[in-house]
Amino acid sequence: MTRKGAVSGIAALAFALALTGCGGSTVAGGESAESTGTSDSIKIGFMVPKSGIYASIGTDLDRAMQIYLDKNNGELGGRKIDLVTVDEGSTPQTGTAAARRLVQQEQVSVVTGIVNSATAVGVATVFSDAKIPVVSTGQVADNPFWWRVGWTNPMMNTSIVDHLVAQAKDKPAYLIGADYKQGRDIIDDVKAGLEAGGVEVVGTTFTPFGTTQDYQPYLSEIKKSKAGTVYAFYAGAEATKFVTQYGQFGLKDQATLYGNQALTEGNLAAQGSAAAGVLTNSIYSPSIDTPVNKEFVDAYVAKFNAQPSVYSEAQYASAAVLDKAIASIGDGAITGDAVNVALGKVGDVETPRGTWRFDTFQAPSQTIYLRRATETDGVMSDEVIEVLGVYSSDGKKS
Amino acid sequence: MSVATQWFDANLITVINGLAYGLLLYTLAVGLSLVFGMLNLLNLAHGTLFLAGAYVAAVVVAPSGAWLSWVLALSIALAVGALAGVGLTTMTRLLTRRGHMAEALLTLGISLAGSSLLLWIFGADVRSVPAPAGLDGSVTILGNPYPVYRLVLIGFGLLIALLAEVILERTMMGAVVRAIVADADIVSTLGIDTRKILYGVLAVGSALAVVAGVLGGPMLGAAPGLDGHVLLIALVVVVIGGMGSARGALIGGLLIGQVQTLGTALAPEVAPFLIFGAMALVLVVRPHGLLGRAEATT
Repeated sequence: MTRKGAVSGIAALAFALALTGCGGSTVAGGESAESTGTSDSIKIGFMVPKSGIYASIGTDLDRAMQIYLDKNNGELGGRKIDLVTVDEGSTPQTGTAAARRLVQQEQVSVVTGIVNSATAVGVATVFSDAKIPVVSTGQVADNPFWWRVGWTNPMMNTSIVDHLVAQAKDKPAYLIGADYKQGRDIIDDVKAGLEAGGVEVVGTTFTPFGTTQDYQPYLSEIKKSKAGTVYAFYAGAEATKFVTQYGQFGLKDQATLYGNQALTEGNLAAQGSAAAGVLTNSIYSPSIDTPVNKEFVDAYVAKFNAQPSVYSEAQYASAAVLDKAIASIGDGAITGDAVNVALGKVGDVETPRGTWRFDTFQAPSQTIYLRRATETDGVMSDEVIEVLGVYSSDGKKS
Repeated sequence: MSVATQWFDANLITVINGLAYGLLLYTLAVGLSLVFGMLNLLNLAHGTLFLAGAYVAAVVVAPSGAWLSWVLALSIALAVGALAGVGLTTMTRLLTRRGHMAEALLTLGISLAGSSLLLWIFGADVRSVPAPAGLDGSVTILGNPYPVYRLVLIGFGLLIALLAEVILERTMMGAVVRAIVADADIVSTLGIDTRKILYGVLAVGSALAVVAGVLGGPMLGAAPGLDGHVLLIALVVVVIGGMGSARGALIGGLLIGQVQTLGTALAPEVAPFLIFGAMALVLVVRPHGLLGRAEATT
């Protein structure tokens, strides 16, 4: 091979790597399924990411489910549960394969889990075509078999906008987020809300998703803009880097950093003291002072030596919702249709975050909290500092 | 104050940061470049070595950033990298007769297995690495805070560049290395055992990749996927600088460092394409890289 041929070969390879999103280290979702229980029990599909970028969130879900089933002797609604765990993987493709397996081979009556919203959108019709209800944090548009136990973008966006308009109207705001659909939707929505509320927006930037290693050039621009409020949308590894560098480059002294729960959730340990003072809005904090939450947090800490995340709480809530819905069926046959009807009549559900009920969008109307990342004896945690109010899934405050 | 000085004041921090980033890229890419120059072997496991170093730092460095733990992390990195380099050489030697494609595929396989192994051992969580104690703060440069550790990174990168320059250009061993890059067959006819040199260069190059992972820890952290990302940028640096040239890797690293920081600050909309744009431009003007030589064939 000549040197010239080699050069163009490597250049081509570099382009190819770039085009495939510099994969290389992603692990394809496996098809492993673990099944427990006997034949006369209810089969529930539990779809969680066990590989890929959301694997750590999958662990949170898995742990929460264990805590709930431990507490109830492995039963939901008085029936033994045969939990079929499958890996949703990191892409809609791996997720769809796992979903088909649950429907066709395992013939489950109901499904819970599913973290990645892109996967959720891909598998939603696989389940609804088979009339199998799904109780999930995943965000899916109208689908009569999809029950949302987490949060919706409108409720998260409106609640933080209301707060900023009321508390920081005189401070110029700068918005920055990861450049993909979810990031653009959230940043554009918050920006429109702030401008409508009379807050001056001095800049908006979208950073390349998944490939930005260093935020210094963007932070320099924020510095120059003289913003007093920064709203950022990042999750996972990107959130850790952004928050850490935000502190290192002295932005903390200039502007208060806001974001939704994804900015600190699951990342606080890695962000360390750089995150201190970051304000996030969320549906949950381990510091919520109710007996139900205390029982959940204590059991979680005792078993796993870790604080539950908002994802853990949402999965625990999914189990609680299913518990109540299945119990209401009594001795009747447990079919997908029957569970779906029962879910529609489930009413108030008491979970660690508080008591809430499904609205007509089949998503919770619920309290949104404002949290401040706080350092206590070297350990970081998100402490609730304010209750922002009760918001419905379409972002209306009640 | 003229427009030029105003611009300079506003972007000084960004330029300094590009220098820090560029020298880290150089530390990573110089080994890749020399190995390619000598063996015509494209080591796709290079990024995995970097990530392994980042994890070494994440695990070994104490939360306080104690100096002893840093020394320990760097020592482990050197040992792991050198051993990995020797192992890689041994494995690729077995495939020499099958041609360079087989060797490159072997390193691709090693990189995939390596990143899965790292994911299995360290999990999918993002790890951060504390800067050495006393160097974790920020200094103010013309009114802008800048992390001290990144200035140390600049010093360290310059030191490695200086060492590489002295060894490659001023010693007999360096002359042999450069000769092998130019024409390995001629060198072996001179009665020089080229194998020893090959093992040595791969060991040193791999050790530098792992060390770069440790040093880059406080800046880039450790997370699945980082290996593919740094490998991609290192390849661009090598292509721009010219394969087999340490000086080329330095120039390529510094150039890409500025493109990634200053370019991003000045043209954020096209940030993802800037480094590839720079690479394409260099390939059009100088198809063998800035310091690559057109006549060399192997």
